[in-house]
Amino acid sequence: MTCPQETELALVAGGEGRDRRISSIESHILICERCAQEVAEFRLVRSAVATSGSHMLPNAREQIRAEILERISREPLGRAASHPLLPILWIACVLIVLSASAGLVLTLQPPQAGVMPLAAAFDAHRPPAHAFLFSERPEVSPESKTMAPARFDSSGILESAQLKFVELSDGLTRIAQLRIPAKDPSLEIHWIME
Amino acid sequence: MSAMPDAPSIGRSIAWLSRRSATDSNREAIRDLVGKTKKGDAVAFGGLVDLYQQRVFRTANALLGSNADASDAVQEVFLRAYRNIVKFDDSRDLAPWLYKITANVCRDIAAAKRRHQGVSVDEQGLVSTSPGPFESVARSEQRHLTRLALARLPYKERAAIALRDLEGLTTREVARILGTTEGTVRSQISSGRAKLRRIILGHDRRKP
Repeated sequence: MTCPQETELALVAGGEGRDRRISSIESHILICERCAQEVAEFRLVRSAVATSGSHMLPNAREQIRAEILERISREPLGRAASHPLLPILWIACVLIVLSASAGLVLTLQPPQAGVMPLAAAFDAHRPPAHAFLFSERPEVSPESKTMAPARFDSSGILESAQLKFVELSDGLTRIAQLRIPAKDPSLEIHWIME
Repeated sequence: MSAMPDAPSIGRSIAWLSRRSATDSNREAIRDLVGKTKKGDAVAFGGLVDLYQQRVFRTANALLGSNADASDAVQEVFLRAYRNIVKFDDSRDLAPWLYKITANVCRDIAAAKRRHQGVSVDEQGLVSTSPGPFESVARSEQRHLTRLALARLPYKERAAIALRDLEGLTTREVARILGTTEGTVRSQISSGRAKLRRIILGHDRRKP
């Protein structure tokens, strides 16, 4: 066997080489003084690195610890513990803007008579977004916490579905959740109501 | 082996953890601290700082070659950890996650420093410069020389060597932390060691 490359010897010194190759190099080292010397030097280098670590003195540790805790005390709690539905809210907001710009702003009949709120709908599981126009208000209470039947005409595509409203903890944002069993039981559509 | 302390206060569990190496049982306690931190408990986060501060500092110091920069890095690492801890998967080990943040923070600091000045290695301030009554001056000098040599490596090689040879992680763990393959890490390690050997021991490429 010819002498291995320097880079291979460097790996053998740390046990990182491939098993079969290591075995053959280790056999070679037994009969090649120069390579054995080289591996020994690499082990020395490893040992030097392993013992080169610095340790903070206790007072420095305390000082840095205090500064860290002081800085995190100024961090808003919400930044560390965001609402799990926040990503959905962000996606929905983007979709609302996109839908509006594409002329796909949707109207949803409000549960009570009055101004029709805008809503953008999207398929939560299968992007890109689907847009629906609800010409008949869903027959469900906005306080409904469970899936309830909803009947509407959405440009002749959808006729019946199950619908429920979810109010987020901010007390302002309501998400409507829609399932269309006849079309696809797994299809679930969420949209944010204004 | 003692079991987890019964309903430990955070302070007590930190003290208990500090006396032990990483085992399944203390992993459970670390998970407890992480869970409390996720709910905004700063005291629990202080416990995590106590547990990992030295390791983060040691790694940062090897990567940056400066105690002052390493101290800044420690603060930044824990701030980023706090901000992102809600995304941390409790079922995983915290140390590799912190190492990953450390590597990223140090890369940013090193890049910023490169723009302004060369890499410097200092040996003052926050670090215990006295090696202890039984440690020789030669040993202290060897440590200094090694740190100087590390500082001369390209950042990626330095990071791979520091995590592998200083922190004792496996090549697989190093690859995960640095976001690369094991093959690349092996290549960085072998190249880095060869350079270190030349710098520390004064050897050139293999002589006939």
